[in-house]
Amino acid sequence: MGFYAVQSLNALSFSMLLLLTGLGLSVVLNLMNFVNLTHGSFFLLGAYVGVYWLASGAPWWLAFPVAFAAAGLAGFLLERFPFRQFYARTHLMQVLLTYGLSVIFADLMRWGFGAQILSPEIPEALRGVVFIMDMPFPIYRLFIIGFGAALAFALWFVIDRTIWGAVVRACVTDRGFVETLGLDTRRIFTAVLVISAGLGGISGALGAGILSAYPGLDEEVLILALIVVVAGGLGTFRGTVLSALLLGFAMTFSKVWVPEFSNVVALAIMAALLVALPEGLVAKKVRQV
Amino acid sequence: MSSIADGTGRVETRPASERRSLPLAARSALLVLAAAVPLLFAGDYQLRFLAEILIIGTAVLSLDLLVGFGGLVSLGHAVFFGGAAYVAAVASQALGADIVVMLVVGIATGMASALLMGVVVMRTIALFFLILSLIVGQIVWEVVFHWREVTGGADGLRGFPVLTLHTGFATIPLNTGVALYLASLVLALAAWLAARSFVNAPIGRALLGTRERQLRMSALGYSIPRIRLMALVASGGIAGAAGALYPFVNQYVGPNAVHWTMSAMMIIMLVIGGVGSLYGAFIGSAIYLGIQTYVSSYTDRWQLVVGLVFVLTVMIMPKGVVAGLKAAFGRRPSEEGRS
Amino acid sequence: MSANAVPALSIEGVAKSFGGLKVLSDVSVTLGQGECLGLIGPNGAGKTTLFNIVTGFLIPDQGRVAFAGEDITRARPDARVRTGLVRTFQKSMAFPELSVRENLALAARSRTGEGYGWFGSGKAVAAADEAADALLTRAQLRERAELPVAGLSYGEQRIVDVLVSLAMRPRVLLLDEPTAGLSRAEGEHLVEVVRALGDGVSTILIAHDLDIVFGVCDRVAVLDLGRLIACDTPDAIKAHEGAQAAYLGATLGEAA
Repeated sequence: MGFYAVQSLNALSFSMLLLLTGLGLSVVLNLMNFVNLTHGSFFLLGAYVGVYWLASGAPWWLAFPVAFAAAGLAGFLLERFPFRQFYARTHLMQVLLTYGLSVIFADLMRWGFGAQILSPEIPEALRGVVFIMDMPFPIYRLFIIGFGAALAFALWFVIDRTIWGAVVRACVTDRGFVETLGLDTRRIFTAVLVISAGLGGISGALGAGILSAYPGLDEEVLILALIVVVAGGLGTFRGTVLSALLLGFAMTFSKVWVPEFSNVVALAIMAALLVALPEGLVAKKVRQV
Repeated sequence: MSSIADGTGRVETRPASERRSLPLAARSALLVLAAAVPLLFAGDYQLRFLAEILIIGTAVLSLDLLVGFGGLVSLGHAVFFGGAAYVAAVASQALGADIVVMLVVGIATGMASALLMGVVVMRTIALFFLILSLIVGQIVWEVVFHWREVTGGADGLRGFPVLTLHTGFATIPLNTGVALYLASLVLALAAWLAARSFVNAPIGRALLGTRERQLRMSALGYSIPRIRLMALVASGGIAGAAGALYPFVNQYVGPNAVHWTMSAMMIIMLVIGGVGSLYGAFIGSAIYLGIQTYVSSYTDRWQLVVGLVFVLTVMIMPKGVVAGLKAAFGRRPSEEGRS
Repeated sequence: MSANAVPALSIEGVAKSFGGLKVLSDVSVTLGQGECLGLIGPNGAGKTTLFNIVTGFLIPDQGRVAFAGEDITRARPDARVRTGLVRTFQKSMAFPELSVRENLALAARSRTGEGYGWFGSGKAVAAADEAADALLTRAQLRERAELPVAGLSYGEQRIVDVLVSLAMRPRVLLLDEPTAGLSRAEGEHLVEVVRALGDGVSTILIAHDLDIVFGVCDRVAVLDLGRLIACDTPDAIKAHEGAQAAYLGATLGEAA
């Protein structure tokens, strides 16, 4: 019993990482209709920033805002050039551009941070374990669950319940209309991309405590985040949450029950999902014809 | 519908033979001449390298059928190529490495795996297709990676028998650079002819229709899954043929040959060379492998160079370097088509 | 049409909602063999939705659709087309960059399975091209065969659209506002082409030009707010009060 409770919490903490990373992708896809495959690079950048910050002796909790800022800055620059030129292009062209950029960033980061695996020093306050039904569970993972949930909730609140969110959603439907209201849509898009990139960075800093930071992590995370977003139904908030939970639990429990074929089982579950629901868990409602 | 494909894969509506000013015979002669040049000047190593370019290029050509004509961007394409490479490598231990047998084995593997993949993915489009093909491909990769007894796991397979060609009276070993180059050349040419006939046949037209106007194709009575499945199987067969020769040229086949990054590499090559042009597959393969082989001897940052070339191609010459350079020097390929 | 013959198409009690919006409720119509049925009604009455249900692009919430007596309510769109149930769309759906002949040939190949051919399909290609040219000759558009559809006048494009649907040899043809945007003369010419080349095909015609509908159709069905309020001969419909009310007082027959 305690074993399964702990495994469920493990799954939940991993789902939370997937959710945070996926939400970054999904926000840009949903609000700006832009596919950003450099998102894995933001994650890895955040992870490296986190590792170096925690090793520096500066206040540990600042690592997360700093990772957000670093990745956000990268997102800001990329938005100016060349993302902006590709907003109106097809998804294919966006995929190609951003995948190419991610290849460049991967090599730049390998150059700058080296090829070895870097693990962060977990701050004192988050070290150690708590006992859940007599089973130990790392405090750091609880922190991820709590922090992640708060962040995801805040994001949902801003997008779904505030005037800023309404403006961004209006931009997607009719950009010209929003401009006639005297709002600068370019700034709005910049802001969305910075937030998305920052989310990627903060997920990286959080995730480094479990996954470490190394060349190639960017691609691994990108693939998982893409699976989450696409299986969720391309950018609906509810769908992304559901599919992050599904993938997180599938990957954790397949490791428990069938360790040899854990990835095969988890991937097969996601494949089966997409075969059964070719438009994802929560499909956007569109009238055909 | 926000299709993942756009105009990059445009084909001319007329057969290629009417478009060019040079008559067919002259162009064939030029091609033969160009193919013969390396035989005179290149060493054994370079010829093997050219063979690799042609074989990978053939796999990329098969991907062009899907991407350029069907708008189907697959991240699982390496399965057809790498899967055939593994099956050929394993089969050669038991059956010997007769080139015809290897090709049959490879084509069958490519088509069978494409059929399996197709049954899973044929109802999805755009990003859903991209991700589903990726997932299916990664499942295969996991199997290859963990099935050590047969695939060698992470180490892959080495030490294959010599590829041979049985003619009526003699058995010719294909283990020199010259022989491998010529075999790959014949393969690439056959694959190109097959792909071209596919594109110009009714099935190719229908495939193009599903990319441009899915609804219309349904309304015309075409079954879109059936068209996609046929395209996948044809593409898988060509990729499989290329995969069958790959172990013998490369002297090694490892799990990376079926990994999604291999599929991504093929997409990069295709885009650099020119989506929807068929010949671009070989140009892209030559540029990519050229950078990988020659730049890496000067700097560790060859991936950076590839990435830059790729991104610049996407930004400046979305139809590929050949079309891009032609446009830059005043001969617009689109005008050429109208005559 | 004799009373006991199997109707070419029968729509029985069809209903469809999008979310809370009821687009069609309990619509029943039959189309006799060789009959031309007009389908009219104000914008938003549910005419195109009914076409989408008949051709399989939508599945109705209730009711059934039978084609030549066979239930096809849940058949896939392309399967319906191959049995001879063909439609056009409001917007031209021809491939603008392909030539007129290729557009028609693409349609002609779809029914026979030759549309999927690869090696050795030269004969099928030639046969389809011939069929396309024959249709074009009869429609007096033979000299346009080589042009890309995008290079035709708007009126010619609409005719090509109809020819594409005829190239599939339909048994039932559903025309969704084929005359929209055309002049009266062009519209009448288009309908004449359908009547002349269709060889007795049963037709449902949606059109806003009521003179055309009343002129060529054997019977006319009136949809309003998703309900079938009348289905009768043109003369009876012209006198039908409910139908007139649906058009907000416009006198049917003079309206257009």
